[in-house]
Amino acid sequence: MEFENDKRVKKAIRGNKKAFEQLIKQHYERIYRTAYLYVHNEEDALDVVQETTYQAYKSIHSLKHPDYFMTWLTRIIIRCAGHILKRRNNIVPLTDEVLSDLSVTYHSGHDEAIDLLNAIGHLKGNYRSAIILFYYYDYSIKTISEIMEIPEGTVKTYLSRGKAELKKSYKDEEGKCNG
Amino acid sequence: MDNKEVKSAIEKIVVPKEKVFGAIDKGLKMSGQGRKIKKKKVLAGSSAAAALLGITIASGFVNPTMNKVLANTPLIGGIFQEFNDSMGVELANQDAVTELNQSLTKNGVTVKLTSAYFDGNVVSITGFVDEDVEKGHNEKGEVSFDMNFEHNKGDNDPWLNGKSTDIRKVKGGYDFQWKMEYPYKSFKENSTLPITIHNINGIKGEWNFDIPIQQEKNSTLVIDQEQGYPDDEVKIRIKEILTARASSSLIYETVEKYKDDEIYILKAIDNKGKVYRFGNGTSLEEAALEDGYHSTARTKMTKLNSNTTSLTFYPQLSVADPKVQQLLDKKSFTLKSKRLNLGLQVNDITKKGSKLVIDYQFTGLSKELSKHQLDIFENNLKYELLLVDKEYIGEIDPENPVPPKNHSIRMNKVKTIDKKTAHFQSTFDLNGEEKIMNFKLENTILQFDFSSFIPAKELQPFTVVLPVGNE
Repeated sequence: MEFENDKRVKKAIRGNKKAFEQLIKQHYERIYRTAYLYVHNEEDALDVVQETTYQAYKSIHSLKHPDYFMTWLTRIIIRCAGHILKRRNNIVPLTDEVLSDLSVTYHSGHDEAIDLLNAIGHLKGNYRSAIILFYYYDYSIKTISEIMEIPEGTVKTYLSRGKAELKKSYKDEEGKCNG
Repeated sequence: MDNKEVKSAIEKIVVPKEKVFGAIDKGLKMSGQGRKIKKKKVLAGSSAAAALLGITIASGFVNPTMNKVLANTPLIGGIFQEFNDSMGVELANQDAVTELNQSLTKNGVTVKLTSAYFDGNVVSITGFVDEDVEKGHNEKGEVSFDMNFEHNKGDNDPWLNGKSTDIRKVKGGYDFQWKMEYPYKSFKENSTLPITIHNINGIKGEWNFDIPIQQEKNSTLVIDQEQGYPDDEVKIRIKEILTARASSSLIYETVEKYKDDEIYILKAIDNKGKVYRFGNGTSLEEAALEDGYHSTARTKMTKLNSNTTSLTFYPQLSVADPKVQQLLDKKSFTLKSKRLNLGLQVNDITKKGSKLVIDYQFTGLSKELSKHQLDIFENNLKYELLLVDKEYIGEIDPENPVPPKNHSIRMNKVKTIDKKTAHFQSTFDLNGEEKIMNFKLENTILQFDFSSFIPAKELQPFTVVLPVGNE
């Protein structure tokens, strides 16, 4: 039996724009949130969404297995977010001054969720991807290794180091907030 | 820290749905049209601040203005708040949402429709489907409807153009909202909309509904003013603005010499400085006449203030340059853009084993590529050089240009040779995922699309005076 979504992905692969649009819009929250986790502001996140849509539509004809649509799309989101981060790093000098100016507003939020997002935002690129894919997407180590194009062992390393860093900075944040 | 904690933290990132859909539409348009190069802000300081502050802002859970509005909203408004639909909330406040209570159970799955509204060109239907839908084939948390309106078949259904579905997990099942753009030219005051859901997540139905859609208040302002852009060979005629309870819609016509050019109205500003935004638009009529391609569209716009006396429109033109191509029976040649003063000069083509290397540079660029432009070139070149077997080039449908499988290669690795002279090298893997069966250089065509390398052009804004006494 053919799955409903499968059918839609197959249509999209054959170049059906409407099917493709429906697929992307079906996952809009996940796409946006993933982008946001990397770029941390609305404008850039929307840029990532736009770019992802464009890149995905351009290359969907090369997607072999409809089952892999979501993992394939995720890879594109991460790549597009990476491009924007790279570009931004070229133009945005993050001086200590800017950071210390902002830290007051930054830590005034008492919500743990903010601290956690904040901590994820400070992870190194690869650690961050591994953490997002594992905890937010519930992907297996194997799938993550395919998306990130790295060996499974490396995924495990990234995950455990990422977790350790998260715990550390997350705990730090909590300490600051309570004390 | 566990999965749940991370997930619920991430789910607190507020998603600005309309804007995200807007970005998706823009992305799709870029692909239909060649790529537009977005102007990039270079405000270093503010973007750093935004990067850091974004997360604090994002934790606003629910939009505060929405909360305020909701304080005195009837119960039905709740579902619109859930979907972040401010228009729905406003209509609920005005008592202009039709409450529905139609429910059907097929194969153990119950679908219940709860509300409908029709305002301007927007039709919204909300409903609930119970959790038995999880027995279907989709991932948990996904609900996908295979459906049609007005007994249409498959994709041949004007209501599906621009239809969006939003889903929220609630106790015992899922709430959903469908939003459609009203597809016809004229509005009927009272009518019903037949809905057929063929299957949900692969579970067969059918669930058949017939729901009333009505729009009582709708005033028309006839404007009919034209603005021409002779240099760009396009014209825009602002025809009418329809104003409903919570939104307006704009009807306008464009006349283009080149069919694939696209004109967007970015925004409009009225005499008081209020900014109006526009939606995607539904095409109402298209015709090829002597003076060019005419097309009339209707698009959703911010509700027009009743005391507005003039509106200044900001249009943007995305130029479609016809694709150019050359048979690779020689090693060097120049491809010239038909409408832009740009050229692609191919210096050399070499085949090394299973790799084909094309060495080329751009001519006619007014100045050296900036870092940002270079990024864009490096990126776009990966997709915009297409190798096709000459026997199969005729098979590419111009309306839907999908390269023929096994007879074309698009993906290539781009290397910048010299930034100053816009000199690049593309390497195609002839034995990669994409391939050309029985590859022979002299039977291969290189196709190139210059459209992707020029930014969309902002046309001169123009002002229209609105007839007095608009309501």
